[in-house]
Amino acid sequence: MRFIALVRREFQEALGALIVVTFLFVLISGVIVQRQIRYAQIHNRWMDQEPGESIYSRHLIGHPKPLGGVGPVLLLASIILGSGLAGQQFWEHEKRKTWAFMIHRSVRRRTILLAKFSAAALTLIVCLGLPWTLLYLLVSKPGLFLYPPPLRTLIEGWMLVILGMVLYFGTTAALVNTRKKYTTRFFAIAFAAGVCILPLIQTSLTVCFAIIAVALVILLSDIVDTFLNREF
Amino acid sequence: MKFTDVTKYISPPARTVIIAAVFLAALVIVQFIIPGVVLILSLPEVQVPLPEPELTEAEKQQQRIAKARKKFLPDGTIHLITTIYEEVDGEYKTEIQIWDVNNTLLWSGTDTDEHPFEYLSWPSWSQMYFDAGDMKSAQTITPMFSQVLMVPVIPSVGQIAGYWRYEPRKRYFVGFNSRGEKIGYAGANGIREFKNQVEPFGQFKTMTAGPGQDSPSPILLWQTRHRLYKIDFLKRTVQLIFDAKEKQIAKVLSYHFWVPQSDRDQPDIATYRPAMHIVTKDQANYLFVRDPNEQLTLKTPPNWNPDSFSIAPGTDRILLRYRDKEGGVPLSDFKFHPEWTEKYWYSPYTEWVELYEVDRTGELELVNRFEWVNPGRKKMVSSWDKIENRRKRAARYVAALAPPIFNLAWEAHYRQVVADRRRSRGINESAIILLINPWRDVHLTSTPLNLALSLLMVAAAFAHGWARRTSWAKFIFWLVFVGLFNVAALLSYLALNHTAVIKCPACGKRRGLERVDCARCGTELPLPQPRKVDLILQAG
Repeated sequence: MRFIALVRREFQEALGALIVVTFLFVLISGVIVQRQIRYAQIHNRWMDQEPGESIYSRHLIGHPKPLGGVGPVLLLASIILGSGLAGQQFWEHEKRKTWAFMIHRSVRRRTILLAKFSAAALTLIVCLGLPWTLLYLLVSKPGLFLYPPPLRTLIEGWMLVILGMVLYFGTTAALVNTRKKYTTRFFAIAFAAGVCILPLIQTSLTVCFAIIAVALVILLSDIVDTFLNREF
Repeated sequence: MKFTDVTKYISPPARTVIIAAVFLAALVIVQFIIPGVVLILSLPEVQVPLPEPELTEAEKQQQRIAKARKKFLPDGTIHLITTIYEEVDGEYKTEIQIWDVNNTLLWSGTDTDEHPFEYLSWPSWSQMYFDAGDMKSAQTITPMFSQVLMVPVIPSVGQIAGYWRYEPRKRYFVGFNSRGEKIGYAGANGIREFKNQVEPFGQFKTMTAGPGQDSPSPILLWQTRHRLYKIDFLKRTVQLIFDAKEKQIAKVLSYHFWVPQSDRDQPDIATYRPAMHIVTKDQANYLFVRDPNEQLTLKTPPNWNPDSFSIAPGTDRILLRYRDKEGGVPLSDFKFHPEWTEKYWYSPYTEWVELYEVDRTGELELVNRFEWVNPGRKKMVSSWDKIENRRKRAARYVAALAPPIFNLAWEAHYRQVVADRRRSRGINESAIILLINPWRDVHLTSTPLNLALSLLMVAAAFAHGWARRTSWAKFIFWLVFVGLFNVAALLSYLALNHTAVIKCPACGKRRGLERVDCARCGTELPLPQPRKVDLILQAG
């Protein structure tokens, strides 16, 4: 019960950011997809193909992707939301010095931590995951594009959303530890940023998710151990 | 075991990984930047060109012969064609000279004059250039998502009836109609209606797409490890053109456009027949010719380099031209092969060109051969070479700070490059190689310096950690870690283990505060003296 109350409270505090990011993401993605639809209708190179006319093998790979332009927007939104949520959940307490008040209540530390993580995950899913899925389903409608995106594109988009979670954990690890700012305090953010790049050069989704899983375990164990043992 | 107990054991190595990874990344960046800065700072204001070396008459003649184009007359006679560019009164003129093999000048004129000779022409060939590396690159998960091979089905101009999508992991095509409904699966056994009926293609190697002659729909030549297929999705056929069985296909060359690839590539049927040359890994050569259809196994010598011969599948006879040199084809990374470079690049070496006629059984009959000595290249050190040498020296010195295991990994990679320079490398392997050695043209040879620095770091870690040790296992782990990863590991060690030390009140030596007892004498830390206001502290 306390856990749900805490999750609800964290979710409410993030509601403003959630609405803004969702609105901006849907708006920008909508404009991009609309332009892609128009471009695909006008510039379909195969419509003018004549018998015996040259074909370059790479034309079979280099066709326009309906959601290609949405990917960078999704990644950027995911990164901004992830690091912003961590700042809002953890740095605010540091700034206002309300950790002592937060910790010394009839709730265990790990419940507080779990509630924050759950709220962050829920925010990312609602704010980015669901709109992305709906966009994919819209774009996959038959007749809209010559080549609808395959299922793999949907999974890759979800991977970009999960990268936001990686950066969330990286930022959290930096904010909960007590090392000095000029030492290794922010190394966790650099580590998370580096991990976000690795999956984007892979060809196998299994390897991508394995990299993300290992990074999440590393960051999570650091956060949990620090938070549970730290003195506020 | 509770979750918090688990994290207690995982979190120290996790922190070590985070910090060490960031320091290693910083080191790679430094390894990349410093030689680059040295390069920029070394750029001279004026590049002075070095004078051309003086050549003797014999060397000039040797060079002329080496640089001349070797052309064959229909009877097999060889002529050497030299092109001389000269500037006369501000105008550039081109002079063409035709010599025979006995050094007799047969004809001389400008490039616009017509010479009286009719030479054999060799049809242009195209290699199937969309290969497995391109397919892998297309599957890379970028922020703009991966790409998929899609082949449209176009029955007539302006009408797209559907498309076929290649599934790389499953190695077959899935067909869709214009409404997005699945219409079939295309594999090695043709096009089937259900997934469980299709036989996957073998491991993909190369592909080329060409237009159909009677429809706009693309036709694919699909090469796998052992087979070559022709796929026509409009006619819903998958035709097996060549099966190498246990052998592996090394290369497929399309002569005179088996599958035309551009508007210019229309075959001259009067002179040449469309043909395909397939080379297997055991250096066997197969020739498939059309109109009329023929299949020949060329009886080429086993030591022939398949990159060095051209085939002219004429209407009356099939000719083959072979060109080779001592030492073989120049290595693309010859900078890492100084012995080969010294013998076959900077010293004189023999080259030759041969003309053969291929009979209907694939036997080669030598028509003519010409051999000459290439004088080799002159070793010249330009000002740019000096700058490059400075950059490479800087890279080697900076590499001394890199982990010793990176040096070992680089040695292993370099040996692999020497053994198989044509092997394509995946993106992960390329990224790891880039992390190990950002300047890949510099061969890391600073192993003794690297090891010496590494030992120095271990000594520093030992001196720092001896007084602060809490357990032998942890102490030895850190020493080994610093030994393996050098500077980055030492910085990580210091970031995680630099704690205060005090003088032990019992033995007077330095001791850390992370353990209760002194690591030297075992005396525990004294309890604080009670004060009047310490109401909760029990005395003694």
